[in-house]
Amino acid sequence: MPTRPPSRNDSYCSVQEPSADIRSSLSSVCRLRQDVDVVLSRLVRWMAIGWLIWLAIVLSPAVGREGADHKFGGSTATDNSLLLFREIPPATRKSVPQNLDDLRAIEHRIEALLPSILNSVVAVTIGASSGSGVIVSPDGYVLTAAHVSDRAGRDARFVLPDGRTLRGRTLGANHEIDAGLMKITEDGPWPHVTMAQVGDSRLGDWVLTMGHPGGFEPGRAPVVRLGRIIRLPSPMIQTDCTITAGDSGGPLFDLRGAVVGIHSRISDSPTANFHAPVEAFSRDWERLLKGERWGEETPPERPSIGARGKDHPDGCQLELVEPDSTAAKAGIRVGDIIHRINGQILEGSDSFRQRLRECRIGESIRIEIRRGDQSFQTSVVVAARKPRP
Amino acid sequence: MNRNDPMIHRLRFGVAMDTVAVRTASTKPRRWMGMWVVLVISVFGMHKVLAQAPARSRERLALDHAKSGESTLNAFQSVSRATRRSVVKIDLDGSTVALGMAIDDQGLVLTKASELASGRLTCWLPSGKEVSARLLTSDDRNDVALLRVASKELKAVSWAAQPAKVGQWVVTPGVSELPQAVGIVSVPPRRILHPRALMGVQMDRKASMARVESVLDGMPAKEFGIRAGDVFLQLNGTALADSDDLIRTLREFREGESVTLRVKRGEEEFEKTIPLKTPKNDAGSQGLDRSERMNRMGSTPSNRSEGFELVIQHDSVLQNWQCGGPLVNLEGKVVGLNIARAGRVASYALPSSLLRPLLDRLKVQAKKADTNTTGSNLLPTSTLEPKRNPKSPRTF
Repeated sequence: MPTRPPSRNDSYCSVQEPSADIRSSLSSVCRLRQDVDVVLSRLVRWMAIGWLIWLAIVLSPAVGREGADHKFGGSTATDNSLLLFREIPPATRKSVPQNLDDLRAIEHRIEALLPSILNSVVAVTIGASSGSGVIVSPDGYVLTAAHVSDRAGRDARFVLPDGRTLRGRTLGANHEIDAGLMKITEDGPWPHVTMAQVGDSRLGDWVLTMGHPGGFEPGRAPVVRLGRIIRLPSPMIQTDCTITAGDSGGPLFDLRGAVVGIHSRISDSPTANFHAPVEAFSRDWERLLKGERWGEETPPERPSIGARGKDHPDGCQLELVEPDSTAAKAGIRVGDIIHRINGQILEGSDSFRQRLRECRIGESIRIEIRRGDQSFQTSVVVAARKPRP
Repeated sequence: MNRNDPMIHRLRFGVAMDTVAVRTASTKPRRWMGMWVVLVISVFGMHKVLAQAPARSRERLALDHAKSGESTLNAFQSVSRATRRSVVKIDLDGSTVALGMAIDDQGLVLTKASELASGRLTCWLPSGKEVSARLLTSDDRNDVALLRVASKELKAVSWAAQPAKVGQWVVTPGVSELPQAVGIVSVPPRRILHPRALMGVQMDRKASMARVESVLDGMPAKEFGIRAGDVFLQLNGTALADSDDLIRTLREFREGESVTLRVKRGEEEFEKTIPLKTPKNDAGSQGLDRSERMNRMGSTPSNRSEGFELVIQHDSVLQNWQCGGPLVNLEGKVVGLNIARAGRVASYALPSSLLRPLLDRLKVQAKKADTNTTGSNLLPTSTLEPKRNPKSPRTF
């Protein structure tokens, strides 16, 4: 009986290495020759059969795939049977592509996927903010970033790649991971894609990014980019698929055409692009449907002069000037009308907020005030304002 | 070595052990069956072990395995090796400003015009030589320049029969063995407008005609006497319906160009010609809006990154100085000429459909310029020995 407990290593070595050992023992020990010969030939035979079986197992998805291509039918978002391809081509899962054939395998798969997945990518406009999104069901559920949708009950406008504009509403948002849900309120069915499941992705998987960088541009289809998964959810997925402002909420696809992540944020390096894992949606689907909003959002500080106002024919009439604010220090009072900022005429309170958003914290801006029949200029330093909870 | 008998046994035992006590007695049929199970399971097991290995081995993908990492670039080596003899690296007064693409075997090279300024032009060849170069002619519309390089060792690029499609790999070869950058085509060919050029008026969008609401300080309209309340009737002889019509029409013009407006002021009507100006953002990157700041994260757009008749957008992470050279497909055939780094997510290339007719025009223009110069100007400035250019930037 064995004297050691079995270990995984044994199975690894016993199949790979012994034949050479056996062969070397053949020449030196004749007594054993026949026994060894028989064992060896059997071993070789069975190994061959074993490897054939293994090959069959490995190759079957690749072969089966050709016949198993599915068109999207209507069903739930996480049903794997709806995937365009069931498997990621093995050639694309090498730790690094070795040659042109490996690169072509990636290219061929992308070309096969694009026509159908591209149609599910939408441009999103909600109030003053815009971003991207992806449709994941025929009746029009749309995934986006929480910092795009923010909270439930807001009106949203979607633009499909074919140019159609659709109305919709926002649903729940998880600000902790930056996952937001929305729904197209017009009657479908809509082009859609499938959500990947937990564990589908591996480190190094090639992934496609889509979205509307820089905002929606009429006549420009969603912009396609390629990269690899550099870090699996921790809690965000990191890739080197470059994304930028306007991409927020857009999808990250694996090479089966399933959504694995939703674009969230970046830092300086082109390899630092972060995406909310799609599990964040499937896990909390019910809460998102109900319109819950949770999680701490930590947006950057906003530029502010500590004053707020309403529309006025001459610009923005201030209703509030916070004591100790930079506006108050510059002598601006409630009732003053801000007519120009840095020479640009304001058209109401919206354009006042817009101008301020464009300022940088610490910058000094020139403000033209109308007070009664007086008109004067003053300089105000733009301060940082902590985001409202 | 005395590991014959025990070895074989151990082998059998060892293998059987792993199938979790399949082995009992050593009768023949059983042993055969055992072998079966053993082999199937162990190969299966190995398959699984191998499959999981990459995911388990480390938490973060090594950056040289990322899309632009060196190991990945290696897979493209056959492409860049085959095309590097058609590429030059262009220096202006000793620092690299662009790449160039050889379009014949006689030293005619195409590049990005706006990266060249007056100064000493030299080209680094794939062989490591530095030779002199001379600007023959350029096309401002698409920012392309034609150079004469003092070398006969360049090889003309070969053009792709098919245009690049979205999702296809595109490679930016350099003069070295590894490509400078790789990426995929992101957007089908489209026009990129020039940066907005303005005359400096705010229009009354509510009015049913093109009426000026206010005139901005420091902009041409004020300087040329336009006042609030003026109504623009025509632009370059074409009637204007309303403010939107004016804004749309102005979008077609670029800085430095002028428009002639027919203006109605009270009962008076007159014409004014006003040059257009792009307001400069001289506050540096701090003065840019959030979107533009993000667009610049990890990349600096080319000085001229807008205003092209037709571009293919791709996602290769190019440095500014890596524009001007060929963009090739996996067959090593040219699909375009890199013309600008446009931001964090985008590089632009002029497609070959635009380049080839443009090239023919440039060649005709260049003929005159080229024929009246021979001799000294064409001698290599340094044919000494291959050396590293200390100032040439390194790609990451």
